[in-house]
Amino acid sequence: MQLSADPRRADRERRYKPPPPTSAPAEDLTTDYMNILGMVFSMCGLMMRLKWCAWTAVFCSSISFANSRVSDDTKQIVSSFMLSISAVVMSYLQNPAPMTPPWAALTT
Amino acid sequence: MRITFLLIGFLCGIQFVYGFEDTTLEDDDFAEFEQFDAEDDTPVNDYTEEVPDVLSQKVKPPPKEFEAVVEIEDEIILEDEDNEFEHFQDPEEFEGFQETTPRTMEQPKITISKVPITARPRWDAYWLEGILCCLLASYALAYAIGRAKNTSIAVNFLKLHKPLLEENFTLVGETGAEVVSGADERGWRREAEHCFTMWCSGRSCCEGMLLTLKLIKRQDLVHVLLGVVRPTPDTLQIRIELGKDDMDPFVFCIAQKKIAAKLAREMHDLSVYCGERRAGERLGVPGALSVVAECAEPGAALLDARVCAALQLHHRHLLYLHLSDKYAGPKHLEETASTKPPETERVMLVSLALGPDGGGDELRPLLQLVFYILDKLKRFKLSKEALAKCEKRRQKVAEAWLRGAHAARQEQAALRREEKRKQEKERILAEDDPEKQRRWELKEQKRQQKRKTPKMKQLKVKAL
Repeated sequence: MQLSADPRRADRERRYKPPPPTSAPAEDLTTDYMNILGMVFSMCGLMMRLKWCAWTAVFCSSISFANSRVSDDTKQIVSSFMLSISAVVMSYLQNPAPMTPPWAALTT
Repeated sequence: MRITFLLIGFLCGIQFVYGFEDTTLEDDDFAEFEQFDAEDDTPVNDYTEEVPDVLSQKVKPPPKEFEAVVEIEDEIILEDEDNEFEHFQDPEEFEGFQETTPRTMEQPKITISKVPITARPRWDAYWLEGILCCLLASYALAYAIGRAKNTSIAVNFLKLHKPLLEENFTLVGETGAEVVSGADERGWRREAEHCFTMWCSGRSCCEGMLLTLKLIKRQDLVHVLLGVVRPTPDTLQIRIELGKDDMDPFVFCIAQKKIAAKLAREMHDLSVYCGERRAGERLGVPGALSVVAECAEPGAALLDARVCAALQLHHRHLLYLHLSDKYAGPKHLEETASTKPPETERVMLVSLALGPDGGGDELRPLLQLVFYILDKLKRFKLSKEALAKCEKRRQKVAEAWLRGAHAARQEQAALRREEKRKQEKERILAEDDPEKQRRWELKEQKRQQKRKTPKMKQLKVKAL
């Protein structure tokens, strides 16, 4: 299924130019959303000493890292990770008691 | 009646008894303190009852000593009526104070309950943390496995289709650090763990071709689980940039029914230039496909017998094929207020669905079909009438846009003027000179009046 014999033209070689942002397909914003969510949960974990918030922040950071693009800012992802881990560590240093599941309050 | 008299008499009796009691209290000044003493005695007794016997024996003070203290206190109160706080500074006053005060006053009411002594909570109490750690570990494991799987799909695709690409382009693939290529030097450029791109160039009928392999986010466990509920395929998106002479001015799209409806709604060029959607059966392509076109000619010319036969066989893998000389991407909401025209380009966009688990060689005929259509596109020319219609439509769209842009510019200018006027008003109001303010108000009033009055032409009649 070919019309011309050899379609290759060395003189028509062009360097790669990224398409304009307006015509590019919608960008995947999972990384950004998860980053923001991770930050919010980390702050909640640190300020309000909520352990489940700190753990959720760790998961949000992990999802953000897994979905990140190569061109994304690594510093932001690393800082999000550090913040969430520090939230977990701080919450257990302040209160080493184990986390109570949310349904425990309902059963008692 | 009797009952009421009896009741009144009973109430009066009660009142009399209360009144008698009050008078006795009033007579004796220290009666109140007697009452308190009596109350104080009871808790002491209660306490002694609560505390074990051994303790109570130790705590109970000798009754003689207590009486002596009460007497001393009474004396102090009587002696120092004039200067009642002086005795606090006299050390002699407190001689033997510790010994004489009753122990019962010092001892706090403490009850020690038996609590089991444990240094730290047992590890099995942290079961919820254990589950969370396991989840994190499984997420990390899924990340590693998913990443490896996606990389292997990209490498496999390259192994299968690189010879075909090299037959069509002089430049295939990227070089550099972040390149996934298997054994070769050139290959995919990793954009993310699930997204790979490859630029091919050096072919007639086009400027270049960008291949984007958008795979399932296998590295993200959440997406994998979501994929079980709503499965999505791995896709290969092809973006072919066309030169000015490679394509006549028209917009044409053939896509799966649902995708065609979505594209016709969301894409700028399809919504502006194209009419209604048509079922693919009319043009000889499978019924699962729909055609959105600006005019009938390109459809009839491009969808020849060979293309239709290929589509009949492999239409499941074709998500859409979009040809446009005015491609401007998806519509933007803020476009109505923009003063710059949208950037357009001549492109051919194709989206192909890979087979299950990354697919195999099933995309080869569709890739060949893409190159076939590309060659055909170069040779295809619209008829004079169709070309004139298309040109006219473009002109109309451009004029409509210019009008919109002019209105938007005027609106922006009005906003700027209003802002300037507000700033001036604030400046005038901030000044202390009332004369200046009055003058400005008058000026403003005049201006408002002038704006309200309808514009009329003035005719000057020259006196003869």
